[in-house]
Amino acid sequence: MTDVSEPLLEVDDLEKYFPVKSGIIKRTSDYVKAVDGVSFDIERGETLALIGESGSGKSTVARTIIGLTGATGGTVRFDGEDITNATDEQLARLRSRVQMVFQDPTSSLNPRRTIGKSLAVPLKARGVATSDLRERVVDLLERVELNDEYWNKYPHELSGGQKQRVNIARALAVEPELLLLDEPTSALDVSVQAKIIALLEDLQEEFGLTYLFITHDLSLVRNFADETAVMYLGEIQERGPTEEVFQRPRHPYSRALLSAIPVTTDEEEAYKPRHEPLRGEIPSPRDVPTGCRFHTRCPYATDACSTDEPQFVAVDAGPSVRCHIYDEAYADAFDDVPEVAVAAVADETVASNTHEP
Amino acid sequence: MSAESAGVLDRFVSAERRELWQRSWKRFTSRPMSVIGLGIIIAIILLAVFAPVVAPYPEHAGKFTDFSNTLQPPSLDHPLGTDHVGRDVLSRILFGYRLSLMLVGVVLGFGVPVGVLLGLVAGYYGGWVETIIMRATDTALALPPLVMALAITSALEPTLTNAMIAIAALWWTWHARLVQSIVASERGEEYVQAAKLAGASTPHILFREILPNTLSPILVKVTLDAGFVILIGAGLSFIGVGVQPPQPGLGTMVSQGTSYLPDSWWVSVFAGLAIFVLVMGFNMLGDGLRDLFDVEVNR
Amino acid sequence: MKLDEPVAENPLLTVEDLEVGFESFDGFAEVIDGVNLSIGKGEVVTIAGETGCGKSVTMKSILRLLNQPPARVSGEITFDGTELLSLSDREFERVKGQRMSLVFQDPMSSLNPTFTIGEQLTDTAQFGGDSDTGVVEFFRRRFSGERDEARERVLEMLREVQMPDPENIMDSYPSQLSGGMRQRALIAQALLNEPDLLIADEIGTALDVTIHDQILDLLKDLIENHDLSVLMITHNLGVARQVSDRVYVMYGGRIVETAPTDELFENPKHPYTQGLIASIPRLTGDEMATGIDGSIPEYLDPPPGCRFAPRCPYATAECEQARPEMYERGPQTGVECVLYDEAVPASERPTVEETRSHMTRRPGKQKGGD
Repeated sequence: MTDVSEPLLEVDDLEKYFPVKSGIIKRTSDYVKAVDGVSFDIERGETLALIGESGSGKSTVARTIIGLTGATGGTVRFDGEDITNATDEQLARLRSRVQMVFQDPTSSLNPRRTIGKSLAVPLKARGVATSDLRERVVDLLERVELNDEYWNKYPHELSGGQKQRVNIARALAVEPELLLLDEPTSALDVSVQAKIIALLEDLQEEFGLTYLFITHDLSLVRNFADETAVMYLGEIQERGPTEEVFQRPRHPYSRALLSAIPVTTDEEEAYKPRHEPLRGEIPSPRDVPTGCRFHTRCPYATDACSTDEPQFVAVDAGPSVRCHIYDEAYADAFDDVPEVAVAAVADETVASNTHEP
Repeated sequence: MSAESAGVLDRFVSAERRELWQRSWKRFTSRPMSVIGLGIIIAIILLAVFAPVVAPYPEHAGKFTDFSNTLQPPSLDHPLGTDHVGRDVLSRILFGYRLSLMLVGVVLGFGVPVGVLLGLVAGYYGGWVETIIMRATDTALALPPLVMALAITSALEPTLTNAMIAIAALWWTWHARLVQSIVASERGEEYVQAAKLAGASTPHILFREILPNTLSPILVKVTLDAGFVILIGAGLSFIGVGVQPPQPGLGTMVSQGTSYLPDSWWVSVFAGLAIFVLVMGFNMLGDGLRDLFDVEVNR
Repeated sequence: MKLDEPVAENPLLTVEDLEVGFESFDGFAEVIDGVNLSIGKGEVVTIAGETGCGKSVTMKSILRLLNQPPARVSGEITFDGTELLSLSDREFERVKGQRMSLVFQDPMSSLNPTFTIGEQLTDTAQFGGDSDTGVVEFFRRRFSGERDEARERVLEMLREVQMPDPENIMDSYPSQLSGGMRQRALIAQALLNEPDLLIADEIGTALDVTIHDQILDLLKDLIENHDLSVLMITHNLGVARQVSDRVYVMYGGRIVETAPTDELFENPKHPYTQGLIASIPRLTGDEMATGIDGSIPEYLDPPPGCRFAPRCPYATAECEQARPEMYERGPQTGVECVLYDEAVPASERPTVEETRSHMTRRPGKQKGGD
């Protein structure tokens, strides 16, 4: 791989703390650390999947990048420009290059406006003449495989999948380079989800789009993302090439996520790490555990895990993991789980599928 | 709808929209109460507008006396009888409707746009903008319109115009509250954020995106309000600070008629009934609309 | 040969020729169109299907949760020898209260936010199934030693569903619990009347993956320990595979395929089932199908023949004319598809892989909805 060009998006140590106000005079008593030191890059034309359960902060990351909410720390750079807490003028420019697709296809369309009107908004904002609007909207509809009949329809006349196509079309209207996809298929049935994913793949190929794909469903990203980052309580716990994360999930949380997927074939069953149900509930992001944030649920947790915060370090020159198991200083504590990092997958599969170093 | 008539309409609305309207209309008409309410209001508005033509004695609306004809019971000549100076009660009621509807028009015509605008701004911006607007609203809400109208009319001059100003000066508060509460919840909706991301201007978001979603509750409230305003107007007229004789205010007529109760009952009773029918009409329509929109929202 | 229901041995619940329609403003919607199914004693049976396939309506008509009108329900539903549809409301409530339980999909809306978990569950333990307790009887039971016994029983049940810190949870309000804990509380509540039949509607789907996983493990244990017969409703085929003995696949208000779980997943037959399975993203990294073209049928005006015909890659004119029968293709196995008529040579029947290749990326996009 050559790397003459810099990444399209660079997120460095991003923090978003929401103040918790209490008492009559609304004094800030505490912070919800929704995003707490998240870093990643996305190369042009590539897809990064951000995986996490509720409370992991994955959606907040996207909302902070696009300026729907301000960051409290760290930097976001888009195409080399620092866009952390961007000014209005910066935001206006940014939003013609970065767009977002929301999770709920229904609530992201105005129920009282026709599809045509909703799609015309970004075009008008870019100064498209009124006389050309209809033609341009129909172009957009065709891009997402809908036809001009939808011009005059209201959202309630569309199925969930059709609505999500419209949402994608609206995001595409400004011809963006980066699309933030916030669980775009989680409200849809599988057969519809498959069509939306196929559409997103086609669009990426056609327009060279870069995606940040946010989801709670690990199984979706296998074919879709180049890189995968697994978030838990505001931190990235594991990040690496998607193939690596699937074939050798290293962090106990990644393994648990993977093993919890209900699959439909024995072949896939063999592919999953040994089933290790997690203990307990996801802690509130308002009250994150000390030490390793995952230690309250981790099947391998030791005393050190509850006091010492693990570093985010590269393992085997591949993915980076935030776990003491991979830290030599703590290696002694984990001698009863020697194979924790190795999924039940033949090594040659890994070798044939992994990216070049 | 037949193909020929569809062709004409096509130039203005698409087939889908027309279908949507037809469905809403069908659903609306499936409730007899709301249809009756709408019928009553349309009929009264027409009667009021064409009062000079349809009233049997249009000249009785003003300063007119016919002392040979005072307090006549209902008859063919005077279907609802005559009052203490010999004026035809029916004619005066028809002209009285004009004043009532004018009051509604002025109060809501001023109060609703002002209230909606303030509510939109307060709900959308939040923060100190909201605090200032909503505290002002709360303060104004604490004053009952009837008391305010009494105060203003007795301080200035007991005329209909002053009463209208007084009521209108307070009526916006209800709409500001209603709209602010809807907007505050709509503001966080994804469609608003999507519009923002699409580069829409703030006025566009306020008036094109959010406002249409508040119209149904506003419309319901306006309809129900109309009944209230009429009642308040009639109440003011009844105690003598609203419509001044010889103008034919419905409340004034009820008030004047009370002197001749119970023997000459028709003046008060028919004027009272006239108020009742109009207020009823607005309430029935309002309830019908509320049900209609609830269904739409839940679909 | 036509598959004859009930296919369950020793059936506890059988549903025959269930038809459910809804009067609506735009006409009569024929939603459930001749559904036959059965659950044997001790069997775990799943109805799987996507949004709008009629699985919830089927469940609701079994439990009489539909308002009639607008719904119109006909057919025969037999529970342990008793025909349910002909029972009076009161008689039905008694059967339901004592022998059936339902666990809803949404744990928040099925718990009353103003009572503690302990109060709600103890009430269920004391009064569940008795819709006609007299006032005097109510106060007698409510304020006597029976209340404490019931409380003990609830506590025990909470322990059994592995509720963390059950004593404390008894005094907590639903809003103080996490989604997973609420789901556990609901399961405990459902088991308090020691039901024979447990109906689980999308259990745990609203929860996070790792919590959902815990709940499914728990459910499997409970089914075994309590010897429950279970009717599961789910849109997730993976969940169906993990939990159930037998699966019914629904599409457009009809059962299109039924088979024991292993058979269904190893050898799916109906083109819809095949398409559905092919659409699920695969952990192995095989290419995912691009979904099934078209959208679910309009119940106001459903396709006259096979309801899947308009979306089926193998549909012929015949499919569009008449509803195919449920062909028997093995023990407890049936497919409602003309390709499984005895006259059709086996070579003409599609495999999942064929269906998958019909549905994976093709050059030239097709227009259409989802």
